[in-house]
Amino acid sequence: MYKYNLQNYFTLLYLFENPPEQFNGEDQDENDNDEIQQSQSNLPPIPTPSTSTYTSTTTITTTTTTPTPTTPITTNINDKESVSISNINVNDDSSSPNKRKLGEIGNSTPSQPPSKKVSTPKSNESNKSVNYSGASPSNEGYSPSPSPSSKYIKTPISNSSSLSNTPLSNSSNNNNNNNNNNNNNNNNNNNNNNNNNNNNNNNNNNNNNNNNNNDNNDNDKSKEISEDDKFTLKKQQSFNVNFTQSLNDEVLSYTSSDYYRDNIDNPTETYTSSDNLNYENFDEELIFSAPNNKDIIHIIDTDNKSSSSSSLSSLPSSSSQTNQPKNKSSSTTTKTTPSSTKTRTTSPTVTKTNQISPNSINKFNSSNNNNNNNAITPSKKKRIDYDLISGTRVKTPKKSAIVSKQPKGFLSTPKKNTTTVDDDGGDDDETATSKNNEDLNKNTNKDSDKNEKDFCPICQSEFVNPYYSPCNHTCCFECWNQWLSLKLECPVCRERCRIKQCKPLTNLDSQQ
Amino acid sequence: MSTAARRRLMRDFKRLQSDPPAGISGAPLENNILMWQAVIFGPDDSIWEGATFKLSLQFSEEYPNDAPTVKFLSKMFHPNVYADGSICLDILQNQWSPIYDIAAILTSIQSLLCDPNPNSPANSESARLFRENKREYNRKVKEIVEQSWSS
Repeated sequence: MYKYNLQNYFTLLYLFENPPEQFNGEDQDENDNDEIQQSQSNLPPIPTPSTSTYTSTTTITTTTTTPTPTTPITTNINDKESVSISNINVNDDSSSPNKRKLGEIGNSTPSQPPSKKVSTPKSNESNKSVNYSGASPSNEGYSPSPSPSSKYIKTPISNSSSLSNTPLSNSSNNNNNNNNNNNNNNNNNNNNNNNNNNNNNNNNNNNNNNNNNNDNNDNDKSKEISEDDKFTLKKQQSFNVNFTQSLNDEVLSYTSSDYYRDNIDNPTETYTSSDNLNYENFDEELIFSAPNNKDIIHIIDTDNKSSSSSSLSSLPSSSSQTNQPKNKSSSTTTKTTPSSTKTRTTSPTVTKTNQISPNSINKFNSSNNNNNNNAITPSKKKRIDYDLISGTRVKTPKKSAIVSKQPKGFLSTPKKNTTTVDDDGGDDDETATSKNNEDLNKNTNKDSDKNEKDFCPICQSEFVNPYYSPCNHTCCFECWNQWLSLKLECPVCRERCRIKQCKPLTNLDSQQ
Repeated sequence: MSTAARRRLMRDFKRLQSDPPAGISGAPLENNILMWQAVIFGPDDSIWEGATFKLSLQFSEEYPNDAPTVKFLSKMFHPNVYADGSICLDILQNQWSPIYDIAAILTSIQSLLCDPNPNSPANSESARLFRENKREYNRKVKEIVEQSWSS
């Protein structure tokens, strides 16, 4: 491309410089006939552009034919022969029109050797001329041929340039100095080539860069991929996390459900235990049928209630236990009441016995009274007093807390006796009872009479100087004196009494 | 034997030996006739059944014109018995009479067990229980009865 650019550059330069080239051409015609001839030779091919196209094709064919004969010969020899062949071809151009065209090129080449033979600096000029010869195709461009023709010309220019390059290398091979210059040129070319190579290298570099870019792109892509992977990994991680979390949640929910089940199971156990305790609680089963927690709570409450009911059941048992001692206590009370009744029954018997003995005494006294009545009336009065006193004697040994009442009753009985003395019928009744008593208790009466006669109720010994009180209770005088100095009441009946009121029983003593 | 009290106590002792009432027994100490110890049994067919209570009787030279001092030596729970065992009984105080002998005194105390007088309380707790909580009163009495066995 660069080459084409350069050629275009030169072509443009020459196009802009058409007039000076024309003048130059005239000058050249004046200076060099050969050049004019060349131009004349150039004029004939212009009318035949189609032929030029044919020539181009033929040139290609020739170039292809030339390598074929060179192959059987050695390399160095091939080069020399190729040079010679090219010379021959130049010579042969006159024979054929196609060959002529090739010979034209060859003609240019023989012109160069004579210039070289002249002088070395001229050889430099020859190099320049070579450059001009390169420019001559541009002269061909001056022709008024149409642009397509110019295009067709351009393509041969490139080919000619390549052919010119190869001859240049050949020329360098021929001459050392030229070779040096050529080497320089070659170096330049090489440099150009190097440049080209550099360009290529640059291209390569570009390619490399591209590759690098590609690599970078790949890296970027890989990074992107990695990033994508990261995102995906992150997503996966998040997904995993979410999944694990969800799993954990599920596990938690499962555990909670287990807990729920456990909660359910526990009440069931308690319920079964309650069943064990209370087999008749069917309502709790109905409550247990409900799955709600509240119902479970109710179940728990019911359990508490059942426990309370159990406690209540225990309380009644305790109450029953307490009732049993109540029954016992009631039984004891029932037992106590018979005892009270028994005691009551016993006490009347005691009172009866007390009543019987006074009756017997009274009867005995009545018999004595009968005897006395037969003798003397005043002696009767005294005897009556004596009888009363003896009655008091009879009272004393049996006295106790109860006796305090009985003496009063006994006092009433003597009055009755007096009334009975007046009534004969009454005497008969007393005698009847006295007989019965005498028959039952003869000995006891006698003994009691003796005891009663002998003993003082205070000192529990025989009477010493007995005195009797207004209430007809007899005690020793000294006993009366000591007691009445403390309390002015009879020790037997607690009636008010004074020592002055007491009288001695001297008559009784005299009677005794 | 020189005094009337001693003569009286000897006669009471003879009589108690010859004709003892039911559930009563007593005797003077060996060295002192004025100091007696007696034992009374709880009345039959009562909450005091089976109990045995020991008592002490201290007589003075004025006996029988002066009442003796009687005390429970056993632990006692009764409305008319003080914590120290003293007995609040009318015949031993203002209603004393010289015709009472030892048998009469002990019989009176025995009957007092079944017929307490809460109006003149010597033991306020027992008197209160006797009035308000007969069950508890009976329980305490049983407890005392059981304790009297060991004493």
